[in-house]
Amino acid sequence: MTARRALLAAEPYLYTLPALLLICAVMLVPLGLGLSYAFHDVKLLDPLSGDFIGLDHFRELWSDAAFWQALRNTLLWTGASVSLQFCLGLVLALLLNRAFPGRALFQLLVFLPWAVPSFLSGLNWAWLFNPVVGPLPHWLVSLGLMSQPDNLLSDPRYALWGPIIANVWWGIPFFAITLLAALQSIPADIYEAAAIDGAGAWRRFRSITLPFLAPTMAITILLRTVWIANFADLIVIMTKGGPADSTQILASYIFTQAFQRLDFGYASAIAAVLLLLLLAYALALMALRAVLVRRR
Amino acid sequence: MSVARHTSKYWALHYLLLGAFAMFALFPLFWLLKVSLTPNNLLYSEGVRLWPSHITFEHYASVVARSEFPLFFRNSVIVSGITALLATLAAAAAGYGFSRFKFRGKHFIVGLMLITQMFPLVMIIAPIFRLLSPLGLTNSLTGLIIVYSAFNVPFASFLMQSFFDAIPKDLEEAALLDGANRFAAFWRIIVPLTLPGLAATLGFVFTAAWSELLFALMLNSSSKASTFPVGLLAFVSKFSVDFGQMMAAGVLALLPVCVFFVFIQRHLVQGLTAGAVKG
Amino acid sequence: MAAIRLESVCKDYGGTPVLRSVDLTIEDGEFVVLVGPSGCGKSTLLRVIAGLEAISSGEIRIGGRLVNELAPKDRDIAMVFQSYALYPHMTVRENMSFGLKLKGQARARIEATVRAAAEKLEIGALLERKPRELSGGQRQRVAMGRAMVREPKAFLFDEPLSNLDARLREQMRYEIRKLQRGLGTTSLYVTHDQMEAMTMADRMVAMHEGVAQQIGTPAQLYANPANLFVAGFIGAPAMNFLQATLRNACEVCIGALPLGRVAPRRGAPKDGRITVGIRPERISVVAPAQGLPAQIDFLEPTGLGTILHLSLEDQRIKAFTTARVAFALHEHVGVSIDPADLLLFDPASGLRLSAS
Repeated sequence: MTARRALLAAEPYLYTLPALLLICAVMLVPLGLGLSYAFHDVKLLDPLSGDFIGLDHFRELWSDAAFWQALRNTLLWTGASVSLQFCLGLVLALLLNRAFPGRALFQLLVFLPWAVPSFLSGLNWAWLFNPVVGPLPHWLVSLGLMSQPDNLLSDPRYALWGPIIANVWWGIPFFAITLLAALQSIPADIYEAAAIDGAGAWRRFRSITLPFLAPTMAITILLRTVWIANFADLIVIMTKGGPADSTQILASYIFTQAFQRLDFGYASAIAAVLLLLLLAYALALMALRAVLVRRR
Repeated sequence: MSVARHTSKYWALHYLLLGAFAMFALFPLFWLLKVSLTPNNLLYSEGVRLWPSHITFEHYASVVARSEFPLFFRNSVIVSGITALLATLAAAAAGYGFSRFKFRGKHFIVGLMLITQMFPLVMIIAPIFRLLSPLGLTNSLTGLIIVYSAFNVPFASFLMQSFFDAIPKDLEEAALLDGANRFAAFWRIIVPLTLPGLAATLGFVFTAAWSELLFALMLNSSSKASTFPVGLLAFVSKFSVDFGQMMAAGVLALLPVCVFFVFIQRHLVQGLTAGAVKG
Repeated sequence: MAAIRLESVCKDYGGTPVLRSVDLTIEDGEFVVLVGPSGCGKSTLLRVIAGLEAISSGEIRIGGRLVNELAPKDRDIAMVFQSYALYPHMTVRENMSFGLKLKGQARARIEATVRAAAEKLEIGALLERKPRELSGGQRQRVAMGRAMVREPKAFLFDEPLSNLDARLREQMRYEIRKLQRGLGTTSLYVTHDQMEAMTMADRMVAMHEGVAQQIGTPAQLYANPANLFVAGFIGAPAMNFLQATLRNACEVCIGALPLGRVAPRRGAPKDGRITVGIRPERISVVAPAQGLPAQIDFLEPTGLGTILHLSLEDQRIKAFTTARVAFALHEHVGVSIDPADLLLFDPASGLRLSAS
């Protein structure tokens, strides 16, 4: 092999090298380490810790009520956030899909929440829910949904909905843009043919728009579900996981264990469980997809 | 998609719904502004009014006068800016590699990058702390830059790849025949054509780095190296009853990103839409 | 200005052969056309000469120099792409200057060269425009200008006219050839359009499935095709192929109908079954009694003449006649063929049977 051929063969690797180095060093190596912590006693404040303790953390997990609550909350948090973001995002995308006077302005306004950093969205909504300075508790009372203006975030039964609403507010633009892009890639002449064939607007939506959107929808929902399940920022900011761990999701529970209790081992064990669940989710979806594809 | 003429009833509903979305989007920000401009004595008495009877700028004045605010701002600008540059450069190179070459291990590397997008980042918060601590990279802007760059590289690479995919390969081939080597072709022909894509990627990474909270919280215990989110959170918990000042701080935090967003929004949406259309 | 020589050039794509031992010499100043259907390997051949792709074995020499291991930029050749590949962010002037700037030439000299080329191509007025402001034909010229200014050893054309409409194609055919003649640069031109090939080439290479089926002048490929592929590919309307039998080594019959006597052939199949080729323009349509009986199934008037779809015995053939006679559908006519115009082929190998 000549020198030139060797260089040519090496070219693609040289281009991907910087990115690869960063990812391996900062993400993959710690990932491996993190998984190993789950089986060791690692407490930051105790310099003598670090012994191998096998499945002790996982046994602790099993009997930890907060862990199970966090698991339940993760499902509620992810399910509610994704469905609301998706449905509202779809409506918004449909509204923005046709040209009309003022579209550019409306587009700018409705996408603005996306620019707001998530921590600010959390703070903002926390203040909105605070009866001292925010309007929402008072409005809820006027609407008859609350007997007196309390802070929703201090009620263990409903507190998780605070971050959910903040998440939806913040996340609609992302779905809207993705769906808008998909909608605009549907060729116009298919609609025209259907209209000539006599299909009404609802029929066209059902038979053309939805099937065309389906692949994009599927991928977007899959990716966002995983991402939202891992998204702990809003909960940490708005409720810190409280009151009494009632709003913890697995991701935020991991964070508070690591950050507040500095018990890296236990935090890593929870993280390992979360990772396993996400893997199972991804595999289940791939199996579902394979079944659907074969069915077609 | 406008096949049939729509009735005025349809348009009324259309604008109504859009108006509702716009209100939902803007209301929280509006409220933030409103409280920040409300003098303390009116804060409780006029709680739910949509606009205070007097407005004041005293909250802004006291927030800006605090010595730490400009520091947090500066730190975030440095960290986000350098992260954006670093991540975009690495991503442009990697994205170009993915777009133009077929090579052994490509699928493996792409798969690896996809995996990094799937696992909970909080999972590695502890190991990263333990790795960076002995290197002196905790409580430092450099540590954050390295970590943030790595986090953003996968997504940025895929983004850049889709921008490169949109450029026909024969442009490079023409350059190769004109006397350029591959890097010169990349630098003088392809990169100028992807400037919108580079701008979009820079914007994405900048925004992502600016809003990152958890790692900044974990890796920094002193306010010297705190970024904006951490600084704002600390500031906010210190003033648990001075809402006026807190909200003024919030508005100040929002201004740069919103202004930035107003300018690039068009391009961002166009870029994402175009990429999607190309498949 | 230099000759291009290919010796036993082979290329595999992951196990599948794309070029099979191609031998070709393009003389200095010659205009050679590579023609063939999609997937025959002609574009690949062009690209390996350009250095955009590597070969698996064989030798490529440009101007006597072995270039196998040289990068495209070191081979001193220029290429005109099907999509023109003009740099969108540069003006026409900058597009044309790019290669010369890379070589490090002085600005004044680049200016002069670009201007001269632009004059020759009649695009002088377009120098400050960007590619997106140009029409297809103008872009074509700019692509040629970009290739010209480098004064390369050879030009490579990759189907440059495919994106133009028919009328423009006709005009550009003439202009490209005229330009090349004026410059005298060795050229290799790839096209799938056999008409383009016939009108432009000094010599043609008919390619199919990675093999150079025949190399020769257009006249040679037209009159003496080496095999079924070349015979059927060159000429429009395409040559008719009929199942026939060869009796006594010199009598050709279609079914029961005798077509006439031909010179004895070497290597004819033992069972006498051959394929006979006859060009539509060489078939005379006469009164039913004066020729073989046939019936008109379909008419295609082309202005120049008429293409008649005929059924002869149980086989279909096309005849092309410029006779100013009104033909009617389902009319019975006579078909008259001069046996000297018949081309005989071995159906199994596809090779032409030559006279012994």
